[in-house]
Parts: sequence; structure tokens; C-alpha cells
Amino acid sequence: MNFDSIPEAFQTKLRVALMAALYNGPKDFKTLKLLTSSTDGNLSIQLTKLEEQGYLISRKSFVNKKSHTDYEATQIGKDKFEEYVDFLATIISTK
Amino acid sequence: MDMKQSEEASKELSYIKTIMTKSQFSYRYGTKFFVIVACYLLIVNLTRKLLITLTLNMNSFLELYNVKLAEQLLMIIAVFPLLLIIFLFHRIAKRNSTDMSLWLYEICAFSIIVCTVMPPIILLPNITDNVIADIFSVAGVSICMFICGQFLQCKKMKVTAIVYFIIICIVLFIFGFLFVIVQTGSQDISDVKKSVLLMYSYGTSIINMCYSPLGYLLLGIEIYQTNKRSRNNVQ
Repeated sequence: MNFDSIPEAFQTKLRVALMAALYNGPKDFKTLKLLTSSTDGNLSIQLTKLEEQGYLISRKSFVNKKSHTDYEATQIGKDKFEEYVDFLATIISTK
Repeated sequence: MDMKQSEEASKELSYIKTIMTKSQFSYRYGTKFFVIVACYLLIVNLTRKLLITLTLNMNSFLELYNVKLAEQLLMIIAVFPLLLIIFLFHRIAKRNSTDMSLWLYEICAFSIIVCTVMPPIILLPNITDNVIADIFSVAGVSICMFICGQFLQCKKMKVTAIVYFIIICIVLFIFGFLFVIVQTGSQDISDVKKSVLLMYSYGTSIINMCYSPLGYLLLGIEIYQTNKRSRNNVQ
């Protein structure tokens, strides 16, 4: 990976935060909101973009008659995220 | 690659690490869980203390044993709502959190049941054995505090866990020692012995009543503050 080939998914702070949060395991919308301190609207948009790019999948269910959405990073998403973290580490080590 | 890029990469990596650390533990439910456990234990311990007030009118150890049996029965009943609380939070943690947070949560729940609730039920209604039960209760809070302190990288929490445990154990040992002196004497309780007995009963019950709930409450508050701090760091 180089500067020109950084995926679009990692070009905004919130999307990076979302991938970092989901790397450890699935989370629901509320948890992601708390972790990233973002607004509902912005979070929803960024999650949709990541899903469209195949970095995560969402699962809708009903808990106590209320809609509940869980998000989980896909293997592609995890691999790309690892690649991005390695790239950042390389930049620091070659300082 | 220049210095500026390196600094930005370092910032980005640090940000990723913060988010990843935060995402390993469900702080939201951690605070709620420990605060509810603290309130619950306070109610149970208050009831236990009320039972101990019955010893005011006792004339023999047999009556005291009966009170202790009643206390055991209370703890047997009290374990069910606690199990329900733990089960509900376990379900929430399983649904929302990662394996790591669930693991941490399960250790704390196990520690609360084994150290705080089980000893008063399992131990024979011998009053000296209750010293062990109290120490277990103190140990339960300390274990939870220490594990959470280790995970949240909060040195203050870990030091508090160790200091609390040592201080309370010393106090309990003194009370227990005084009681052993009384118990190994004759079966009749003189006024002096009775006052020592009451001092032990009230002393341990007050410590027990305050220490465990306060410990869990402090733990809940500390988790909340850590969550707030890390949220500010992200912003």
C-alpha cells in the first residue's frame, strides 16, 4: 500500500474508527455511536458506505419488539484494515 | 517520506489503538452492572445487619447460631435475584461486546458469586467461619477492581484494590481474634464478652455493608470516568 492506493474507506476519521471498533468483533449501532462519539446521521451514512464497499455486513433483528442492527467486519474489511495499519507502522518506522 | 507524514501516521495509529482498546470492553454496561450490583449488595447487607441486631437479646451461642442460620437462608434467597441480574447483563454483553469484554465481564460475575455470595451460604453457621466469609467478600471486590484496573490500565484502581484488601483483612483479623478469645471461654456470655461479641458483629457487618457495595460503586464510577476520558481523547 502507498499514499495513492489508500482505500477510500480509510480516508475519513470516522470510517477508520468504525473499522477499528469492528475489528474486535460485531457491535450494535448504539455501541458504535458511543465509541466514535458521532451523530446518528453521520454514523449511518458512513456505515452504509462501508457496507457498500464490502468492508462490513449488517444484520437486522428485533429485540423486545424494537429494531436492532448489528454490524460485523468482513474478512476483506479486516484484511484491508490490517494492511492500512501495517502501512502506518511502516511510515513511522522509516522516519 | 517527510517528518510531517510520519507524525500524522503516528497520530492516526494512536487514534486506532484508542478506539480498539475502547471497543474491547463495554464500558456502558460495565458501569451499569457494577452500580446495580453495589445497590443490590447494599440492600442484602442491610438486611443481614438487621438480622444481627437480633443478637442483642441473645443469651447463648445457640441463639446466635439460629441467627446465623437465618442469615444463611437470606443469602440463599438473595442469590437468585443476583443470578438474574448477572444473566441479564451476560445476555447484553454477549450481544454487544467482543470476546474480550465478555471474558472480563464473566470473570467479574464469577468473582461476585463465588467470593461474595457463596461463602455465607456454604460455610457452617460457626461465627468464626464468618471471618473467612467476610474476607472472601472483600477479596471479591478486590479481584474485580484489580482485573478492571489491569484492563483499563488504571494504576490507581489496582493500588486501591490491594490497599483495601490488606486494611480490611487486618481489621477482620482483629475482630475474629477477639471473638475466638470469647468463644474459647465458657459458654456463658458475660457483659464484657457480650460487648466484644457485639463489637465484632457490628464491626464486621458495617465493614461488610459498606466495603463491598462501595467497592463496586467506585469501580462503576471509575469505568464511567475512563469512558469519558477516552471519549474526550477521541474528540
